[in-house]
Amino acid sequence: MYQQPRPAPRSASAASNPSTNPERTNNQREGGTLPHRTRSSVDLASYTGAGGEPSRAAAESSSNAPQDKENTRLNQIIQHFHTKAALTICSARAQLPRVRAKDGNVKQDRWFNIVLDDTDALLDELQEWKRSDLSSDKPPPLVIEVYIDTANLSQNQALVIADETGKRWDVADALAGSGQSSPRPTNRQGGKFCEVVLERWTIELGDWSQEAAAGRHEQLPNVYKKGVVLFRSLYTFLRFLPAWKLYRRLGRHPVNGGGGLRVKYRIKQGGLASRSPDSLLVPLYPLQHTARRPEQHDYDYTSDSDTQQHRDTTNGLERHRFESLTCPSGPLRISVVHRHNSDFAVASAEALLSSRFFGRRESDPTTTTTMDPYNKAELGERAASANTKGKSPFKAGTLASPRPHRPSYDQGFNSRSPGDKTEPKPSEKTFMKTVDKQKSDIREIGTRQYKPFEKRISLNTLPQKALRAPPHSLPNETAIASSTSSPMAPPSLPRYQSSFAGRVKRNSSTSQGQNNTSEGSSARGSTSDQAASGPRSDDDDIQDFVGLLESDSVKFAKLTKPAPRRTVDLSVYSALREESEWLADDMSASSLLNKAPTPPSRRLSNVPALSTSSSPRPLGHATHVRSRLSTQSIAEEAGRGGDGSGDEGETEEPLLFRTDEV
Amino acid sequence: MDGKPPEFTLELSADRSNVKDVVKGIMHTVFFHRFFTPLTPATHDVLDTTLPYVSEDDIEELIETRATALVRSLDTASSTHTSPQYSAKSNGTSRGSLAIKFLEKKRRKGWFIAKADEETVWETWTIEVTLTSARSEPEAERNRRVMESSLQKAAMKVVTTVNEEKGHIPPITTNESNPFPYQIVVNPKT
Repeated sequence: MYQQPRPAPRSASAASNPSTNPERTNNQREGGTLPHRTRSSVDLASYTGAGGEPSRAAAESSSNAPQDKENTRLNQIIQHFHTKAALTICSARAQLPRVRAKDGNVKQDRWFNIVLDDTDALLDELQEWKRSDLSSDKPPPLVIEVYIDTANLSQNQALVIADETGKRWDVADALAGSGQSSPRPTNRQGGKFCEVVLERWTIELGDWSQEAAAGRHEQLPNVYKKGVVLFRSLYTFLRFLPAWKLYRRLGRHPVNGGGGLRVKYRIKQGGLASRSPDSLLVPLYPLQHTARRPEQHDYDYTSDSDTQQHRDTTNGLERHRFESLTCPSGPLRISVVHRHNSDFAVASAEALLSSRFFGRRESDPTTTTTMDPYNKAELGERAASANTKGKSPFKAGTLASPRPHRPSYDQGFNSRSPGDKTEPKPSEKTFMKTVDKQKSDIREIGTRQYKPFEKRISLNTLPQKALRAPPHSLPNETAIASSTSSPMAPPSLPRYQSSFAGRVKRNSSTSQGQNNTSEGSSARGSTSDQAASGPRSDDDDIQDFVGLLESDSVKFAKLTKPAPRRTVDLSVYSALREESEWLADDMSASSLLNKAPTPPSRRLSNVPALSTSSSPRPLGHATHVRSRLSTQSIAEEAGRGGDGSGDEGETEEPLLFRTDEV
Repeated sequence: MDGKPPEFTLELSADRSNVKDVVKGIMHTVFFHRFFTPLTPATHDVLDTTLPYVSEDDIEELIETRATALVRSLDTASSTHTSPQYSAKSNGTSRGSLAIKFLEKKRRKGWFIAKADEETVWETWTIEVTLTSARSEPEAERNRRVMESSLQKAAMKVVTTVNEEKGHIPPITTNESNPFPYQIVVNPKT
């Protein structure tokens, strides 16, 4: 999702915020007539004193002593540290209403050199941090809670969360179980009401500590400069957290689409004892795995010092603290505690009950598994559920994760790890699916035992491949048949059609789902059939012979099962070679036409700006070949075609490379 | 301040279809934290991760150009298997790198009138990119997972690094549009 940034309107006027003491803030937002100067007080130059423009605030203060000026600036820094942090956080979790200045332009907050649309939605709540004596009278911590609000859920809806294995848990139950309130609260529609705190941010002017003491005499310009970096990283970090994805997911749909869930925030003063237990600390589902040692997560953060990042796996919480910004009044700090799993969804109460009964994981289409990038616990726990190490989540066995589409990779055959306890259901399902496919395949003509492999590939690859596979599979099968002489090979079939067809039907009905087993039984069946059918001259001999063939091919089938896969691949790619030659001609023809509106260039223009439109792809592998026509032989390229097309998996249309590269 | 300017390394792994986006995403993330002029932030999603984006023409163009050049060099390395410095492996992976350098202009006190501004590097970000390729679907999926994870790790490393290392940022003395000139070098020979 690419947001078009709005250029900062240079003529935006100074803040005309009625509640702000005109003496204190935004007074230096002037100088809009100077195009190069940023027009706000956040201009570093005004802090270095090099700007030379005396602040009105200083002029209006009771004394013109530089001390007061410095003090005013310090106050401004403390004040805007709090308010800008609040604005940055809340604007990343909610739609804040914009404000227009007197001249009609949107008011913007440019403090700390990050320009965000200002709002008046936070005015009232932020009063405490807009005082003019913050530097001497320390304010309380500013706490912002981001939570899910279920006020719009209907009666038969419930808020659920999916854990690492995909099992869904009722959130209201979990919270109520913590003793928050004895009668379950309900919302207006009578549905279960609960509020789940996702994040708690704390912005504060902290106490002097040893680490902060070093910066006690930091010059204000330096404080400001470091603040610029801090706020950029805050902006970035806000979009790494799971609540961001949840906010975007829910925000995309109106109230109905999101099931009535909303992400909201509230601002409050920290340091006060709260009456109700902290819902953030309530685990929403039992964590089956004991808290893992911190070093297992170290691969995520290169500087996983305890001061910055702390994972509390017992509650499923993570903490992050930004480096404090030390000013003459103390260290200014921003920190957050958040849930690492934000995989919330709305479920109908009945569905939830039924899933409890059957104890099965449901793939609810409304549940999108939010992959929290910074919650490596999720990945790690998925890995742990597959194999007990919990380390690299990239073992193939973990790929059968709760995402609904994953099991189609069908790892049941080659990569499931042995100690896998939580994955059996997906694998059973896929195994049975494959078995059923095999059963139906047996009834057909052709070397069907190879089709499951083909089908598996075609499920996950480009449609072009799927289209290509069937037509080319036939020559494959012929080739394979001639080498392994399977019982159902087309060459032999026409001669024995009647008997074999009957035999096949009988055997498939009794097959236990293994190709070789069915072939074995068909072999046995053929010999028994012979015995039953009585003496026939040539047919008899021929059937004997075929029977022998069948039994041989039983052994062959077992042995060559891996081989056909390679054979299939090669032929597919040799087919690609032909295609690529054809497309090469086409491409060179189109290049001669000099960017005429041929389909290739038109396709290019539809490509979104930042996608890798310049990269050749297979089928696109074909264009890859073309780009190397001068340096490489096509055969060599096609031989390596497995690489290119292998990673094409689930992606987009093949794109030809840019016309300017042609 | 003294000695060699700090150098931070980010490691990325990507498949051919995403490598350019991934590299650009990280470069924008770095610039987002080093472009000290007031900036209206933008974002861009890469592989299901939202990364910051610097919508300044000069920077956008430079990043685009350098990323293209890097990808081209990765392609060349992977297909020819020649350049040893790219450490191309027989299984089809190839490597390349980019260095983003931030410089400061130190005004040398002119002897008379001429003031030669000396530009010195005060920080270097090295992005090492491994281009992966796969021969099978499970391998492709595995590569994709590694790619996503490496992107997230690298982005997070930028955030933690810029927070921890602030002391070496030179003072901002000018009022010009961007106090710190920058350079991006593809496959620097060290």
